Amino acid sequence: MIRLPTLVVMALIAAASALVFRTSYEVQALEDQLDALNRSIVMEQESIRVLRAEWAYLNQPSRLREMAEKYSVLAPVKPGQIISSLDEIPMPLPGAPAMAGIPLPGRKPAALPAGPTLVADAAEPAEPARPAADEGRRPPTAPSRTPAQSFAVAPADTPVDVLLASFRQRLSAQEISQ
Amino acid sequence: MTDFTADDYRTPTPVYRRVQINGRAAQALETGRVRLMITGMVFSLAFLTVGARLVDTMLLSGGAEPRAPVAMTSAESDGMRAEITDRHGNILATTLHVASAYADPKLVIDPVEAATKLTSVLPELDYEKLVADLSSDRRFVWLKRGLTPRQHYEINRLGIPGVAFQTEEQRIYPLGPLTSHVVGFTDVDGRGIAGIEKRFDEQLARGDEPLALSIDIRLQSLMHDELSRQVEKFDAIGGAGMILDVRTGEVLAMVSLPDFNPYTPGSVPAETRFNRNTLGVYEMGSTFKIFNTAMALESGTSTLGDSYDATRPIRVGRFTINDDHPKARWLSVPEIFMYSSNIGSVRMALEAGAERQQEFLRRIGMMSPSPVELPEVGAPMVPNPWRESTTMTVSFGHGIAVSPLQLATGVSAMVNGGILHSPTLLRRDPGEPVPGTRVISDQTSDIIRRLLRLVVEQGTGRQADAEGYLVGGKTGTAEKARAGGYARKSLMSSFIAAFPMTSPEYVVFVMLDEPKGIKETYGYATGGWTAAPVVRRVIEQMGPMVGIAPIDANRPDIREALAIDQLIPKGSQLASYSN
Repeated sequence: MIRLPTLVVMALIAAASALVFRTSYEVQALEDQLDALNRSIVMEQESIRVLRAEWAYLNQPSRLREMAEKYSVLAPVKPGQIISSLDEIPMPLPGAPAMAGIPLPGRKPAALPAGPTLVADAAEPAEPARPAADEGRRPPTAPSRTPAQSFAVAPADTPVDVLLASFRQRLSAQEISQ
Repeated sequence: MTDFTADDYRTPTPVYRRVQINGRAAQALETGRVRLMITGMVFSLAFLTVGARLVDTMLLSGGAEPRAPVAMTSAESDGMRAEITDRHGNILATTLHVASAYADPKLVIDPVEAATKLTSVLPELDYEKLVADLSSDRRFVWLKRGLTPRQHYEINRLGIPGVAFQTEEQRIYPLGPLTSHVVGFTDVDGRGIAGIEKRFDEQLARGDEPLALSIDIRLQSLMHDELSRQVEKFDAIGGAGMILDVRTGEVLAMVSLPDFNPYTPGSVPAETRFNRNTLGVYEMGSTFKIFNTAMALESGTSTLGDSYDATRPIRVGRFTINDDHPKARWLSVPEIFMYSSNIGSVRMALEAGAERQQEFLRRIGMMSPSPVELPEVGAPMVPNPWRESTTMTVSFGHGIAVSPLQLATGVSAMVNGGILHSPTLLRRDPGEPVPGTRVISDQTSDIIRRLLRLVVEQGTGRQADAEGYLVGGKTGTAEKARAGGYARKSLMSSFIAAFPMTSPEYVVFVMLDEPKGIKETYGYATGGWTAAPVVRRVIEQMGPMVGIAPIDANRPDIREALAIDQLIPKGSQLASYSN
């Protein structure tokens, strides 16, 4: 009764359905993956928004100013400290020591502000020669007056939300929650 | 069965009966077959439907959730209210999704345990109240709104039955009160109800591009710090400060003090939410002499060589117009400006006439509200009718009240070569041409620049002289109008400056509302003593920020470019005495 063409056709149908089902499941899996990806993209976007807000909060000019005053020896630039063109720098006199005593515009060299400037650096006495036995133990150069040692900022890996929590508390946490 | 042949008619007897019987059976058979067929058809239809549905669901995913083959494109496509940024992209306002924790007390099994656990994560909650809340009969209790991501996670980890979360949108102002008057605020539903938030509410709600303002937060913060320090020092009831770019009309800083926390705008009095720069209109006092002088020079009724009689006060009705620093002699136009002589200004204005004066003030935008993009814009108070006494008082800034922004916009046009640009709080594209109308000639603008420099070098504005930045400016001290006259002791002390005067780029305005004189200023509370030092400190610090190199003001070429006496024709003073 069952002839060859029928067999062939049935085999073809079976193969085709198997293929179709396989493809269909593959597509489903891919779609699930895409969904998951989209979800994580949305989550990333959320976090980016939160992080950007936090970045803005942490970069408040008043906060930066506070930090700069606390941790850095730098101060706002005075007009007299700015050299706007090369013409303002006089040619060095023959025999004058390099770098020391460049007259700043509008200021006598003697009236230089106290503080770490190029000139002050140059004036620092060179480190005394150490005995050879010490060489191995001490670091080769020990900067004597670097402000970096006094840095005490939050470690770089402080969790974002801890910072965010302090941010919210300072921006009147009660009002937000009411 | 239905075939009847000839034989059927010929032999009808037994066959006929049998056929009849058979016919009845056939009929029954027929009925049965029909029923069977109908049933079969119904079943095959059902199977076909099931089959089709199978194909549909398995191959075509019909009825399933629609496929989302496109990934999210950008952070702005999520339908949240758009960000507001400053000109460099620093965020002034943004919207975040925050989780809020609530509880259904009916589902809380052990209120005491739940409260203990919750207070371990949220120490700010009141334990007693929490226990009472969780034992109540209500079905909904807020535990805390606006949780941080960590708090959200930790509460979730506690796994307390009956505690759940709801996601809400929250508008965040990372800089707090710094830009509160400009950016404004939103209501609980996230609709803008003040400032930029209100003016651009629709655009922000659409949530596409961030809105970039012209404000520079560094300058805003600088102005805020210096102004608030001075407000405190002179015990003023408020202050206003602005920085404008004279070439584009962009507002780089706009501070109004006192300011407020944008999260709780309702908790402060309305005066605190009041933007003094745009909504407040004030008699600006002597700073109006800039306009008066420009008007007189531009219309040709006065020249730099003219002099006016300032020997005696002028009487108008029951008022007497006097000078604050009386010289009691004839004064030249530069002297009138430098010593801020009211009498001289009145004489210049009278010579030009009311028509010219009004037309000029209208041209520079003093008669109509400022076109800036804020809902809080005050209309100027313009006297009507415009009497002769009006002409006299307006010449030195009384009898007409304008907003500080109008004044600063007008002064920008006076110093930038004579082009009036409408003020804007939105960032302009650097490449894009800035629309503007010419209101005075370049020559007049040049004279005004030299006059302003003169005031800072030798006149009432010496305290504004930021070394190296060639500051020019004008003081303004107005008595505040009270019912029935002026209050001698309540002053509006202001200073408007531009720099560098060789080619002005920025206008800086500072105003203090009712400063009280202190020992350091010998009891003075005038613009020169209170507002000018703020201007100096602001310019000294903003110079390096905006990239303006300081110049030695004593260089011969600079001196020549800014000296006023170069322009005064020799011997012309005598001729003008005939006035």
